[in-house]
Order: sequence, then C-alpha cells, then structure tokens
Amino acid sequence: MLVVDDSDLIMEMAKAFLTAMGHEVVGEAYNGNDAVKIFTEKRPDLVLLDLVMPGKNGMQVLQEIKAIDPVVNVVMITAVQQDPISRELLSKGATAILNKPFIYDELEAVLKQVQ
Amino acid sequence: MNPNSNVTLENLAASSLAQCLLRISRVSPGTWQVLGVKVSAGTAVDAVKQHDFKNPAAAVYFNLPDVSPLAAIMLFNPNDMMCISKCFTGHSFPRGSFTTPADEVMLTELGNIVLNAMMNGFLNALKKCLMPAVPQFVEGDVHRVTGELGKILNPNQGFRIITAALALQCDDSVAMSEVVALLPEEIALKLELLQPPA
Repeated sequence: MLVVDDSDLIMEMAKAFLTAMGHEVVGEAYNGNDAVKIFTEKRPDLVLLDLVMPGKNGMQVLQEIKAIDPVVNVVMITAVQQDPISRELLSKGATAILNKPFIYDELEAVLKQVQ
Repeated sequence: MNPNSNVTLENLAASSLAQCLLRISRVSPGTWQVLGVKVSAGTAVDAVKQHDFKNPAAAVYFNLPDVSPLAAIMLFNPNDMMCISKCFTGHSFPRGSFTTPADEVMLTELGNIVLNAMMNGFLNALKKCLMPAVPQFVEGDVHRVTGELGKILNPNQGFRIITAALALQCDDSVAMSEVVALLPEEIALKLELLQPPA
C-alpha cells in the first residue's frame, strides 16, 4: 500500500492504522510528484491519496496512476467535501472517499469494502 | 448590508461548522462547539483584528482561487496548545517557549478540516466548486499575520466577514478559537438569494 499525504499527522496515523490492520505500507509520499514516482516504482495494489497537496494535487495524481494501472484501488482522504469534486474523483476512478478526520474503524470499513 | 442577509450567512456557517465539530467530537477526546457566529464587512485586516492579540496568535489559512478569491482563517492562542492538542489528538503537547513543528502540523491539519467544512457549506449551497490551496501556517502579531494573508489576497479588498467563535474542552481545560471566512461581496449576495432566512 502507498500512503500519500502532506501532513505528518495524517501520514503517521494512517501508517499506524494500516500496520495494525496487517497491511504492508510499501511507500509514503508527501506530495503529488513523489506519489506518482513511488507508485511507478512500487506498483502497490492500493493507494491512500490526499487531495490537496503541494505540487500535483490528488486529482492529478489519481489520473496519472489510473493511467498506469487502471485496476488499482485508490481511496481519497480529504477534508474537501464539495459535491462536484467528489463526483469528479469517483468518475476519474477513485474507489472510495474517506473524509477527514477519520478513525480506525472507518478506514478499516473502507478497506474491507474495496478489497 | 441587509441585517436579514447576515442571518442567512450565519446560519450556513453555523450549520456547516456544527456538523464538522460534532464529527470531530466523535473521533477525538475533546468536546467541540460553536459558541456563536457573526457577520460584518471589511478587509482581511479587519477580520484578523477580531482576534485578541494580547499574545502572538497562531493562524492557519488558505484561499480558494477564483475570479475574486475566497479565503478562510483559523486563529488560535498558542498558549492553549496543551488543551488543543489533547482535544484533537488525545495527547497533550508540552508548551515550551516556542511553537514546535509538531504543534504546527497539528494546528494546520485541524485548521484544514475546520476551514474546509465551513467553505464546503458555502460552496455546496452555491453548487460551486473551488479547489482550496494548501493550508499555510503563520505565528505572530497582527502585522505578521495580516502580512502573510496579503500574499494570498488583496489586503485592501472588501469582504463579507463571517466569524465563528469555537470552544474546545477536554477534562478541565478549555480553549477558544476563531474561524473566519472572507467572502467576496458577489458570492455573499448569491448565497443570500439561494438561502432565504428561516
């Protein structure tokens, strides 16, 4: 699994949750450019992806990684809950959207749903 | 400015923030609530000066780029750091003589969540969508804070200023924060037309 978020707080929380759930975190990125680079190298089957980040935003990263691997599961994690943006994320291939702040149970439920 | 129009904006902000704080209260150890919302008109400097600057303030802010950008600011007293961190993360970050990178990360993420909640409410009511910029952090006196805000918006532009006072409580400690939305007048007028006061 690849975790992408520019916030150390969210990154550490997500990694701790994922590890406790038994997932292997194969990469972490703090901006969109690194996310695409690491995805290309590691080819994880699931990506937790922030929307608002320095450099490429999550929408751009989503499009690029779906172009590389159309079947990869991408769960967006964001505080932006604007209806047109949510619809666009789903239309561009996001598997699910997890709203910030989230807790362990919510992340676990989303991952069960997508896997 | 029609006083009834202000009721519309107050209701929208209060509703969006209340939903957000209810969610934060469910997933964090703190109890979070909106104490009140008020609307005024003025510049970004007028908006920031509503905060009590007896001590330097910590502020998280971002704009939403548009023909006339919108902006949002959350202001904290850094002396409340132990309470804020306990309420949000469950851990009291010790308060030293300066704000640490961990404090900054925590406040920035909190501001990101709360400010987006308020702006989401306005934009969803308008059926409008604007991707927010990456949240920024600044700490200092009123001149320092307004100076940084001047980098993302015109400091002389007039806005409708929607200010919410928040209280957060964990155990016996209570902290306050202000959340401010700066809406260009044309956006405020559109919201008034869409959402008649109850």
